[in-house]
Amino acid sequence: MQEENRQLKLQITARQLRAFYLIICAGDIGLLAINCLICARPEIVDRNTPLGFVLSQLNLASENVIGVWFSSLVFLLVAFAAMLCFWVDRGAGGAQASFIQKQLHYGWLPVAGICAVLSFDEVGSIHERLGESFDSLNLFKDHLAAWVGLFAPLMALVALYLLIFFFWRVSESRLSQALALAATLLWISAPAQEMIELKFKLSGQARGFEPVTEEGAELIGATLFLISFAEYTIARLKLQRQYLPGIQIASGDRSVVPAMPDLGVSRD
Amino acid sequence: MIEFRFDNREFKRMRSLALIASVLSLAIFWFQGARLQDGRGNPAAWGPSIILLIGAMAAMINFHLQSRMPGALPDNVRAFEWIVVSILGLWLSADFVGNIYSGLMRVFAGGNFRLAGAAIALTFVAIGWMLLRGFNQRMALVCAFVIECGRLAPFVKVNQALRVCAAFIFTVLTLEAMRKMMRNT
Repeated sequence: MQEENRQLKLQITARQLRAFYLIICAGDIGLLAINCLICARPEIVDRNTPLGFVLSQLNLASENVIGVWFSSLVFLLVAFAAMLCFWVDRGAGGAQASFIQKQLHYGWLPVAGICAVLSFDEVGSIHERLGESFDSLNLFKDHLAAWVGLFAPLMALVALYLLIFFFWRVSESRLSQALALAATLLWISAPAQEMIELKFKLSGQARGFEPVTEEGAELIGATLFLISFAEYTIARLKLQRQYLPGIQIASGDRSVVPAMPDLGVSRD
Repeated sequence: MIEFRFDNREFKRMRSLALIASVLSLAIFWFQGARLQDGRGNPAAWGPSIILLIGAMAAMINFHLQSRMPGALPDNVRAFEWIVVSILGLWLSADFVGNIYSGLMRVFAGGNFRLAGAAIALTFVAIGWMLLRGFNQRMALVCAFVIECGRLAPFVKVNQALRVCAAFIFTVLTLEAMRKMMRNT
């Protein structure tokens, strides 16, 4: 019984978190710089030489490489950060909040789900496989790549959801809101860039730096989401402590995350 | 500051999550079969990669906990053993997706890449076995060997099953060590 009550406490300070952002940003910049080099001189990616092999592992345009693993890892971290936002948002609004306001924190769950699915998709190329399998359902065959045509309505819906949710829910933290909206716009640009890629393919032209801008939009977008959600979590926790000293997030234990006053009201 | 609190329930949840991911990966491996070589990404690699990432993270937390335990040198030495396990977990996680080890062996050893890969991995395990003292750390090393050299097993489905199971055991070992430390603190 005593063992059941034991808890392991792990603390992450804001400074440690910012050091973590720096590591992820450095990874993004390094990866994108190498991909620029690969786009400029594709002949250096020769899998039979040691340097060529290492470069091929960092090529975001190919599958089953370490670059894709990193990208998938960042998406998964975003999903985890969205779950943190869900946890800290529980009980937001206090007793006076309307029923809808009290349920708003559930909006984080689809965000976390979308990011987890994208993480899986990044490694598994699921959208491309589905696009090829259901090519007959692509209504814009001559204008859009198979998967873009198939998923266009779903992507539009998800983009709309993200824009509305971040505009509405994350408005309490201006920095988080700006980062989340910028990240959403970057993600929206990825399928648009896929259309440009198709144009290149159809005209037989080289893709140039298009793979870097497309993968870069996804990767930088994910990193901005990660920073946005983590900063939102910290902002919420700071406000919680302001009113209820000593209360911090505790994974899996609802009782320690209290109902708190509406943040909009409390700021005034 | 963000504070996370783990209790027994959390450990059980993480273990269950790792088990579900392993079973799903095995199912994907089983059904996708020969299509692994179609030039597309490998969806079945995601699960083990995530499981190993959890293991690497748990090993890093173990380092953090062990280095703060009273008892000076022996505990500090053991703490650094967890750094080794953590780096190993991170490498294995990336390798499950990128197949970096076998690729490097192909580059350096050409046609003898299987033999060279097994020999280097065996040497690494032998050195690691001598350096690492903790049971869980040593077993994690053995799991790493199975994950890398499981590729040599005769059938694709058998070797993938071996590798996924080893990834699951790797993570359970690190999580159990974490739980043990929680009990002792």
